[in-house]
Amino acid sequence: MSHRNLQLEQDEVTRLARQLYRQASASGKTRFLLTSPRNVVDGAGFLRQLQAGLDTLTGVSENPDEATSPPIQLRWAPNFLTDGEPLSQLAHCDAVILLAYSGRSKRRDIRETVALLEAEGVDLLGVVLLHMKNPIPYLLRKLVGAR
Amino acid sequence: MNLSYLFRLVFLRKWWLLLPLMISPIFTVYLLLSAEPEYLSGAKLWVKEQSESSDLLRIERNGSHGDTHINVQSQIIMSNRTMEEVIKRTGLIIPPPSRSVLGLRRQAKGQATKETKAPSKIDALKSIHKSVHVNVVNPEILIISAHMNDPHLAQLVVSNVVDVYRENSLALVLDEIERHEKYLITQQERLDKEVNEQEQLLIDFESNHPEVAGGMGRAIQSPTYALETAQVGPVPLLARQLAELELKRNHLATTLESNSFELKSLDAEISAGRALLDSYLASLSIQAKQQVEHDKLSWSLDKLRESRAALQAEVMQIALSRGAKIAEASGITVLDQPSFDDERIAPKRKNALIGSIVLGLLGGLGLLVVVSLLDTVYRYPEEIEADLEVPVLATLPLIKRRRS
Repeated sequence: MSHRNLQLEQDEVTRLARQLYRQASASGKTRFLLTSPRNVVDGAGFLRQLQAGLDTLTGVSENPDEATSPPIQLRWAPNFLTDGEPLSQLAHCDAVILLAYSGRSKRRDIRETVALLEAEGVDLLGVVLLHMKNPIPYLLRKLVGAR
Repeated sequence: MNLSYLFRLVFLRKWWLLLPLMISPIFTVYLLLSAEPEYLSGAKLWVKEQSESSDLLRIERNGSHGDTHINVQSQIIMSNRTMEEVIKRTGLIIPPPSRSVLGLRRQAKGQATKETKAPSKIDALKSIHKSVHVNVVNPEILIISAHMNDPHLAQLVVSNVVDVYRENSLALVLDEIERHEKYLITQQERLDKEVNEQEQLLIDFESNHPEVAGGMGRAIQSPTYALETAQVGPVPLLARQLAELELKRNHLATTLESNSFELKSLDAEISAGRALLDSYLASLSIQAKQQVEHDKLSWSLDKLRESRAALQAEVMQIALSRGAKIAEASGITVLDQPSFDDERIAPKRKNALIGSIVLGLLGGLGLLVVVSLLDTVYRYPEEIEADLEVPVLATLPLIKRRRS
């Protein structure tokens, strides 16, 4: 599996940031861990986009001292099923957001991850499903062996 | 799993359902356009069995003779001999031009139809065997039908099959009659020869023994004459019976095996009669013996002449009634002339299209179920929510990626 540095449509990311901000405001949870079941996606780029959106909403990006709400922290620890890092990060987080890739992330892996999180007693906020907007260019690239 | 989720899943995977649903009718339409139309023509025949027409033409059969006869007729119709003649008369050695929609369009554009190989008689035979059918309705009625791509051609084929079948049947009957006539003539010649020999024997006997008989006129008198003219006891009667037995034996010897029970019985009877006759003859005077001998010869001649006359009558009868016998023996009556119907019997376009849509729908549903069952990954947020009962926060489309 190759590492991918995701970049997503800004509008969609902003919408997600608003949703997270609402949930954070309602529940009081401010530390979120983004993880993926296996090394299918690299959410670092996505994390940056989302963090930027959240910072704007909380006012942290303009003037941290005059922020209207507490800052929301996001951490990225991929490969929940294969690495030890995500598990160690769980203690520092209020909730987990699971990143899955539509059409690539195995059902079995996602089920297993959810079950492990439940076993750890961690709050799973939800799943963010990533998908190719148009699968044909991706398939074409795959066919010609492009990385 | 509720119904709305199920419909949602079907909607999300709609192309698996819609593709077969579209492909199936399109493929069916193509098949319908390239399929040859099929027209039907049929003729009903009454085939009488001629078992009572002539003893010689009669074929003895067992209990299911009616079925056997009609099945034989069916096989005669479907025989290569009949079909080859039909092909020749209808001109089917070259396959008829295509009458499918695509075929007609190609012909209209002047494009020659694809000839994969030169037409052959075997191919034509195979083709006509597939097109022509014989249905036995009952032991005397059968229906000949032909499926062709043109209604006129179908009618022509059935008409030719009927004609050729009738001609073949007639030829078979004529052949039998000719063989019968030939047999009778051979028998007649044999009898003529025997009569001549017998007459010569009698003439020789009378010339050697003028005191016994007065000439040929006397020779054909009955054996009882000998009884009246000479006191010879039961000798003439015995001699006549012996002659009858010998005639019978000679006749049977041509058809039976030499060691058959009947011939052996006859031989034993003849030997016993001859021994009895010899014992009587031994006690007779020379003149009486000669009289008996003369009587025997004249009686044999009389019998041979009678047989010849009967045979001549039969030959005459056959010659006189030959035409009637042929007509009677052929025994085929066309009850319904070959029909003409310009309404195609296949392909049924409406049925085929409805069937293809139903099939496409079922195939699509099947494909959908199989694809869903075999899918090992999540593709839609609804699946995750239904399967894991975890909310999907967002579905984010990826627009580009770069190597990290």
